[in-house]
Amino acid sequence: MRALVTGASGIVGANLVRELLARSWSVRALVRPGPPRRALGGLPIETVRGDVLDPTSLATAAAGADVVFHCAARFSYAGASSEELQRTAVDGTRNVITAAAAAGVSRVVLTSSSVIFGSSPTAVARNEDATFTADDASAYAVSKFRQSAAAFGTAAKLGLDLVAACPTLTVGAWDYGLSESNAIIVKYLNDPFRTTFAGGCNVVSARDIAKGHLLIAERGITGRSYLLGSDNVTWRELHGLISGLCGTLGPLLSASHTSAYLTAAWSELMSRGTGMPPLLTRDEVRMMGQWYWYDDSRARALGYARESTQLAVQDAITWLMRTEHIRPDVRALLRIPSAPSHTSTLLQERA
Amino acid sequence: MTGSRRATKSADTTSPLVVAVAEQSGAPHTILLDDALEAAGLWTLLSSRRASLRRRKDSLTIAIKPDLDLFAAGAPTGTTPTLVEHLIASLRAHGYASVTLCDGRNKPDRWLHNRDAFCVPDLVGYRFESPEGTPYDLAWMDDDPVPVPLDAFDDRPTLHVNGAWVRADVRISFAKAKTDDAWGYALSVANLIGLVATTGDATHWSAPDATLHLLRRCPPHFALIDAGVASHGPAGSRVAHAIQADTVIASPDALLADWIGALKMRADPHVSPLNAQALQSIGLPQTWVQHGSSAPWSCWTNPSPILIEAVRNRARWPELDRLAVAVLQPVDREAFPYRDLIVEQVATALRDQLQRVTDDRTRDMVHSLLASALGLLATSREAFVGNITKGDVLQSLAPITLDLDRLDQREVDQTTVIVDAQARLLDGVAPDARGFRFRTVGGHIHFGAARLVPIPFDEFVARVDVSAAIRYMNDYLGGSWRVLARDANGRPIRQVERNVYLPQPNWTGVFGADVIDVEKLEVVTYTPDLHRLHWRTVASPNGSAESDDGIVTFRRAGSGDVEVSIVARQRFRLPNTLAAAHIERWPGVHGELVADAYSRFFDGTLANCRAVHEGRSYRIGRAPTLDGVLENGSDLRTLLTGAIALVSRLLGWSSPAQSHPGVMQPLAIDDLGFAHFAGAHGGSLVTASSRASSGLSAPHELTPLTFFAELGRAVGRDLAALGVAPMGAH
Repeated sequence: MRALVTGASGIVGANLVRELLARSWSVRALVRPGPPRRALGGLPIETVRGDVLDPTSLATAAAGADVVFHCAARFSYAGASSEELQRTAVDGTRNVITAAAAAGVSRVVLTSSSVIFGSSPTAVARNEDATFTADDASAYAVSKFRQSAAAFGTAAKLGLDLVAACPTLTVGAWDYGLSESNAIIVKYLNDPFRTTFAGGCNVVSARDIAKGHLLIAERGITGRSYLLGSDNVTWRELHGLISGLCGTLGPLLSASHTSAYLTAAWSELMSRGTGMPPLLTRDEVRMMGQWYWYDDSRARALGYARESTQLAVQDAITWLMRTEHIRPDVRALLRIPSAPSHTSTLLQERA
Repeated sequence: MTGSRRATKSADTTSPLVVAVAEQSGAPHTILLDDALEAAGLWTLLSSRRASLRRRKDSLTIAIKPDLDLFAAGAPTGTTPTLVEHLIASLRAHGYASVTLCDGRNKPDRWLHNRDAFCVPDLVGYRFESPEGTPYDLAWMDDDPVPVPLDAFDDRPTLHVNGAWVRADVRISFAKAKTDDAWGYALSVANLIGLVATTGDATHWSAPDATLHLLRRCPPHFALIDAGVASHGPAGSRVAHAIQADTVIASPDALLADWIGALKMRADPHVSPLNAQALQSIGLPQTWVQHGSSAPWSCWTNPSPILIEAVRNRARWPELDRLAVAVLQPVDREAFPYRDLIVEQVATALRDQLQRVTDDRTRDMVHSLLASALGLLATSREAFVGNITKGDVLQSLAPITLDLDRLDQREVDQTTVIVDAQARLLDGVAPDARGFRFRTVGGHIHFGAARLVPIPFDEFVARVDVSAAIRYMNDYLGGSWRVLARDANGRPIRQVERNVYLPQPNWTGVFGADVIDVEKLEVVTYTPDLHRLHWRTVASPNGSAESDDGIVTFRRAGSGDVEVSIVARQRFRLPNTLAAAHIERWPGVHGELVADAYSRFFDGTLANCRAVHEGRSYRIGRAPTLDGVLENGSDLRTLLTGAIALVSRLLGWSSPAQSHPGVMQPLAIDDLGFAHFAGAHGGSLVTASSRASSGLSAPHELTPLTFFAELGRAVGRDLAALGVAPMGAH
């Protein structure tokens, strides 16, 4: 089978490429022009330079592919306007689907997000029947919601087979660009106050997300979305887990909405002046106190199996510790968790 | 008067050195200079040099370094030009024709015009010919920079100084007697800074290290201090505050001349860190003869210790320091016009305000308050960097200042005996819950801890070199070391090391604590089951430590793994504000603070050892930038432009996003409610109404209205979480 993977150098794409190769797929990766991508270094894949906003490059990339995995997206709470986010998400997705239809691709798997099913003010898990909650949604969440609707609308119009994978908070290896999800771990460790906050999330391993994409490509029902997640945890539990794995104290402080909002507003103001990314954004603060808990029963019914959140986080930290994302002075004070016994991430990296 | 033995410097001459103080109220200063030259033996010295170098009088090259830190003609902040030219004339009269003036600092700078090679002397009164009409040369740094050789073990970038000075057969420093708000006083040793290139590699050198290096490698053969009209007060080197001292001091030894000069100023010679470091490392001559009185000049005033501390604190933020110097430096604006209108306006406005204060005491107080505010700003920034963002703190290349040629091996070997005895003071002390043992003896904290690391001993010691253990310690910023002896396997067994660390505990930086800067003697031992390092502090160049001794041991445990243990005896100088609080009077609080500090120290050190074992980086901080401590000039325009840009952005007058033509407007909204964009071209600005029409929330601009609206919602959520509603509660 031949696959085209857009956004192959992102955290989902890079893990998906490896999973495809492990299952003997022939992989073509669409990457944007620029220097070689570390996440794809040394892999036996075909690389095509292009952009989801460039239909010509997409036509070339999609030619001959059996399945298109459209992972490309901008996942950012800062540094990109909502218009920029939506341009990549909506226009880009329409371009990919149009190119896939023109190339005769049999199926497109869209990497969407769990946030399109909204969040809850209380500790309840949402499934694929839940509706998007516009109140307090971040620009990123809005862009993903619009992307999903545009994708299914365009695919229906063009008669293309489309399924969507909706990962929850995805952490793991090969994330050299540091996605916002791995950044949650990094920011927490770099924070001298080890601050936590109210609410909860669902954390899943990038490797499981890659397997889930393949599963959905093979068994998913056309026109359906599938939540891919793992354990539902509170932020305090997640932060405590990170501290425990790294042998450090924490969480030490619990941020209130007010203090977090003031911090974010100040951080954004400073960011405007310095040009550096803000440490915290108001978008992120709006997510505080919300419960991003999800039920992935639909995917599990297809055979989706995932490891625990603890193992996912452990695996992610083990990899992150060997990157520049965690400041050396912070890293020097942390214990590097031993890699989970089942994982081969480290072994692959050493190889 | 014959001086007593002050230091361990060995005598290298048969006759004692002379320091001459020519002082007479109302006497012409040229006469005083002649007297001082004669009494201090310049002519004898020149003859001696000529004989040893086998030179004729007219081919003996003589370099004179006057103090050219002048910003107005006739100001007493630099050496009086007529005295310098009188010296040249005297040399010529004695047959010494090859005389050159040297300087390095007054090169074109970023804030004033006419600070280039020949303008400064011309505008402050030098005539480029001696009184008898013979022209003399002026050697400028930019024409002829020469590297000053480094010791083999010195890793720092080379220091470049004026080539004419280095090559001269005889070097004469002709300094001004003046107070200085950073050094306390500025005399011959401070005058040497003016020989150093002010950019590039020199920026890696601190002023005390640079002057010490010059004193060792190319010292003046003769030092003169012009105190005919001196400059005193809180900042005599910067702000002209003339006092008729009618004195000239001369000596073949610059440190001795400064020693007497400081006493005449009623100042402790050690108050200047430039001189203090040189006195500790080189010392005064064993004996000397003094002609004239060292009685202080009457009515002389020195900068207050508070002001000195504040200005030194300000220097911890080099950009702020340069800005302050540029703004506070009085300048003859006709001779040295400002390069920048903004700089001129700010400097003029500030000085006009300060000049309204006519009472000297009040003006000094205003200066001190201003300096204290800037010093506090700099230390706060440094404390923030040290506590929060350690990646931004500057690493150090501080050299060893101990005179290794005079270091007795037995003194190094005694380290084990002395430190082992200190370690025994912990015998019988029960460990606390974390396994740490503490005891306070005479204000020194004795600490001991051990931890088993699950790594085989042999594997651990193969990668973690115990002789470098000091460098693995928590918050290490850098330094240098020299191995004095190695064993048959090439491993260091005796060495000397200088280490610089962040203030300990880090939070003391908030109160102005300086970095820990210590020089240590070390002995390393290796057995099949034990690698051990003994260290003993013998000097602290910045006075930050009274003691810092200890033992690091890597021992093979019963399991075959390695046990890492540290025993230490330390006492670091607290900043005045903390020292005044006498925290030790509250044993509970003091004990917790000490335990927390050592817990962080031990855990951090152990983590660094593990990082070394795993091949990871453990160093904190960043290498020094090219904006160094010696650089002259002002960043005011840059800072002002940055501040204006920042304010503009904060107020929304412009922003990075608005630097583009605008954000894209959807061309149409389809039946699903999705906006369609024109792609890479076209589009116009999004309006509030179009955003609202999307029906979904979008990121809000941070305006006062949205800020208060969102803040209100955040407060509401917190109130709800307190029990009124289940919002966010778990």
